[in-house]
Amino acid sequence: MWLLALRTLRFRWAGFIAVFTAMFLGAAIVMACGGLLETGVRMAAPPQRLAGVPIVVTGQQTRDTTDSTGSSGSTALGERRRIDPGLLDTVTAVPGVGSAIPDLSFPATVVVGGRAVGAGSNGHNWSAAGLTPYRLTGGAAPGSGEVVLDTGLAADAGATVGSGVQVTVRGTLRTFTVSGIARQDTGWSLRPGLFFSDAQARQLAGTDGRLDSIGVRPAPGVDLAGLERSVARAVASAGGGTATVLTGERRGLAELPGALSGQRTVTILAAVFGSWAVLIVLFGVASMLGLSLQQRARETALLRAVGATSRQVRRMVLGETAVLSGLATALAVVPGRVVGESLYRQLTDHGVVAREITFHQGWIPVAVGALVAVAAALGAALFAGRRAARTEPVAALAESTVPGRWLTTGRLLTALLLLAGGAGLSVVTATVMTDGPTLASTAGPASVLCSIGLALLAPGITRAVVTAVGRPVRALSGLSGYLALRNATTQHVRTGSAVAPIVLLIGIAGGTLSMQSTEDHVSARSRALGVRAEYALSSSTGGFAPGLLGAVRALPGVAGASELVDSTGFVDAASHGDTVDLRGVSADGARQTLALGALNGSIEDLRGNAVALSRAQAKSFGVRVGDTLRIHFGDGAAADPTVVAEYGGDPDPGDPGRPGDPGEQYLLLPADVLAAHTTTGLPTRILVRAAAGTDPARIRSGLDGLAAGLPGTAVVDHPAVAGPGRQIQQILAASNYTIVAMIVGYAAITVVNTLVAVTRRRRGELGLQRLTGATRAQVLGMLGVEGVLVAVVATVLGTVAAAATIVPYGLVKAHSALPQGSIGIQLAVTAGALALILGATLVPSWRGMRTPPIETVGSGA
Amino acid sequence: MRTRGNERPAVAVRLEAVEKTYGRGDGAVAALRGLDLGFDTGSFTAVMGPSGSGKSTFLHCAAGLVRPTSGRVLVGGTDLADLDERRLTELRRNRIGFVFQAYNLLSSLTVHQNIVLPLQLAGRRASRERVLSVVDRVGLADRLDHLPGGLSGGQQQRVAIARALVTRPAVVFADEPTGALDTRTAAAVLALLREAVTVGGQTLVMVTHDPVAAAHADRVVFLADGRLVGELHRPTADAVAARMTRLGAWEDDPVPAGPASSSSAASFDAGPGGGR
Repeated sequence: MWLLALRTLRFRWAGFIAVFTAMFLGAAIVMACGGLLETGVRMAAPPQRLAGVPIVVTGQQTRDTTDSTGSSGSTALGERRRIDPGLLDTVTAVPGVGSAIPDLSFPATVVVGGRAVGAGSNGHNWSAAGLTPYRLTGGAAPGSGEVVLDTGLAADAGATVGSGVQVTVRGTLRTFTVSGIARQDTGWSLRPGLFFSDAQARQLAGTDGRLDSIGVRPAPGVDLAGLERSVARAVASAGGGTATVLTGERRGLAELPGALSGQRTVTILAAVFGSWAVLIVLFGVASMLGLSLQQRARETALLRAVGATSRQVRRMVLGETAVLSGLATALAVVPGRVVGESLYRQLTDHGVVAREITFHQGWIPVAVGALVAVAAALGAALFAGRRAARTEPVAALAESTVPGRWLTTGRLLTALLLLAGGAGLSVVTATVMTDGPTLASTAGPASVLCSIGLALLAPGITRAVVTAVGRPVRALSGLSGYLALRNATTQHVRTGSAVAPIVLLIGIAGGTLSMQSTEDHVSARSRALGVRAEYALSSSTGGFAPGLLGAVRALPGVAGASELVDSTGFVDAASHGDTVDLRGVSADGARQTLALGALNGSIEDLRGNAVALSRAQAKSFGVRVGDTLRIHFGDGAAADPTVVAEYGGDPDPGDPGRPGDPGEQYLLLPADVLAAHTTTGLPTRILVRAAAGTDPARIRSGLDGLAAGLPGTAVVDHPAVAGPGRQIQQILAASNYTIVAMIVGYAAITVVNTLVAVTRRRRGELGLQRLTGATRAQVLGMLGVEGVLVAVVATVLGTVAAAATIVPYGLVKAHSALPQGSIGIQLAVTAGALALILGATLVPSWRGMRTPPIETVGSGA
Repeated sequence: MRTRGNERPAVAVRLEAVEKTYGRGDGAVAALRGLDLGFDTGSFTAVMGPSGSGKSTFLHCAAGLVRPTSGRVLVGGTDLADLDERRLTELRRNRIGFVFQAYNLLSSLTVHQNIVLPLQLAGRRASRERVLSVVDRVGLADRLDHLPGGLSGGQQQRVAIARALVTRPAVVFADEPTGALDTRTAAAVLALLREAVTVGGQTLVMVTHDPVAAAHADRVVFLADGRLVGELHRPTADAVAARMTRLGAWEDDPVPAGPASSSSAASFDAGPGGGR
């Protein structure tokens, strides 16, 4: 049967283009997801600044958790966990350690003429220069009040050995003398670096002496693997599980605090996206194979008549599919990598994953992706082949092919299962799921399952709908309408096969696009709702010194100002692994600058060991004002702050903020308390609210004046406040566009393929109509009405399927069953589907009608 | 008469009291009503009858494509009712050949590949000489690598005949093999079929409505209303046409043996009730 399969493929290659494209796209996407998954699992960041030492001891970037059910897990931290300086002695004492080098990094910026030079530059202790290594090209090591600049920074700043430079660290401008200039030859373009003496660096970093990392250089001749083990043992016994030992590619993580927090997003995204792709490959390939088999049903019957067993027919279909999917998968390897990289670039561009994490798509995800894609295709072929194998050989002798019973038990069961699954996911989304990164993972597939289920039942539903709309259509469209209706009713299987792919198109595309527009709309609204401040000062040089808030408040026309620290952390009462947005604010400015709604308790008490949270959160964590709440900061430190206020849930009419509003999912903490547990250690923004009736120009100029004195500070109008956690959801939703593009492509191919095939097969019938006196225009009119009927049925079914996603997603996100935001996209999808239908029906018919009708009558095929 | 009179004729295919009813209840249609027919090895029989007489159903049942509602079908002594679907298919490809009116060939395969397809399906090696002898007989030796799309209707039908003969089946069923052909091409195809019987010793059963085609057969059997209503030996086109005209006029009546002589191999059956 292989020969036959190959011959058929070669001879009928045009008919297999659609199947091939479906497999190709699917395989590429499955492989890309495999790559994302591998990247997420590995989280490999090649060491750059720490490349000079083989072993790095750094703070554990995950937190081990145990939830109420006793299952334990590990959650990535959002901030750098620093290590105890005592560990330096512990590591130095390990036999085989040549030297242990402390490493400190903190934002430090060279200022020339009032402007910051060298974006993203960091200050380090001079001994850390050996970790890269940096070597002096001139001058000497820094002493107190001195700094060594890297070559690039020195050039940008126009500094030479002996000259003075202004450096801003922790919001304070100081002058240092350049004692030397250093360069590194790792080949990486590192962030610009400033090196201070170790004592001064410790003081400038403001970390109470704690270290970022320790680089370990082995003594000569020491076995590295053995040394790693003994260092790890020593660290484990001394560090109490808060420090970890990194080697090889993972050393880079020590340079990227919080990088691991992207791991969960990447893996979730890869899994969600990958499983959708598999589902779509399965259905796409099955439906297109089914169509191609239907088109050569007579050949199959002939094969059966001359002695092919059912099994041989099945094997032939499998053989064809195996060859096709093998080819498609092989060709998809390179595009799969491109897709994977572009998906990953999306993630890094949106800051979900640190840019430094390298994308890995090794042979394992490619092989697994290829296997999954081929297996999905073969599964689909098994399904389609069963049908083909049932072909009665006697059909080869029949004058015309009688359409078989379309509703088999298997089909009905599959459809019902899919619909039940979709409805189940829908209900779960609406009732069980909370607004979080995983919401899209149940909401999205609901419409996919429902679409496929409805598409399977399309012939029956088509007949019912056509019967229902019969009278009005007939009244509107006269004879063409009458003929179209007769055709749609008697040939409901044929019409149904045209409806099915369009249901998929509208259902899945509509569902995901609405999810996206709801997400966009809600985040935009909650960002706008959450903030009352009109202005913000924003620092790109590591944050503001504590004194600045007072200076801002002292500006004329300022009604209130608050520092703002963004971080993520954990509430132990929440299910483990769920991060919570933490927002550090000033107790006496929060009310004026943030939209907190009605308050229980007093936000002015938010000082020291205190926390405020939304009413919805208080309810779900089971705390009230006066209770303590066990939390962990982004650096893993635990705290038990007292609840001093509950915010939000304002029942005021006209205030759209309601309990559970997505904008109300952050904990408020005192800015200074929270800042101490972040990587930068300082608030990076100050929110400013103008007093009523103040001239905006006046307050703006005051702020501009302040900013001018602090290099690297920008004044922002209408600041938005979005916690880091929210971005993940936006990314997940943003990836929907890729999914939709894929599905639209798939569905468009199927729609065109189906309709062109159907229309071709009807040439004889159309010729007959013309022979009996119908003009071309009348025939085209009839086909047009049929097309519109198909579009109407498909739109209704597709919308029902899309609702399985839209309604629960909207209920959770926005407390509304209707999609939020613009409906233009859905209208465009529907209009596009209609254009496809009419184009794919009318163009081939019109072309077909250029041949005299007498030649097409009786040609049948 | 070209049948081998000196040998005791073995029966290649036998139908015994075959009934076939399509549908159920009120919609039930009886296509065959107790048909008894036998076909000698090495004979060429034409089956005729007006539309709806059951000749297609007869062919489907005799060839094992459709299972009869009741009665027995024996091919080379094997009762088809004893075979499951797979064995039935195997029997079909080893013992039975088909020639249809149209849609005969797989358009993706060359002439040669089409001809050897039944052998390949059976997992048998196509011996070169056997294929060549068949190809020679149908006169297509120079077109083996052509695709069917480039052949004329008559040539396509020859390929189909070659394919039907290549397995050396016990019986070849032909369903209107000349229905789509012009008179001259049809004559050539019929001559080819005749030759398969005369030279190759094959058994041939041909359903047709064309008296001229039927005249090439040794024997013509007439069906009407699902029953055997008569037969002609050594037919002429005129005699067949005359009989067909009568059948058309008295479609529901059993026709007495009349001018046709009774056959020893195929019993004449007027039906138990003597007709309606």
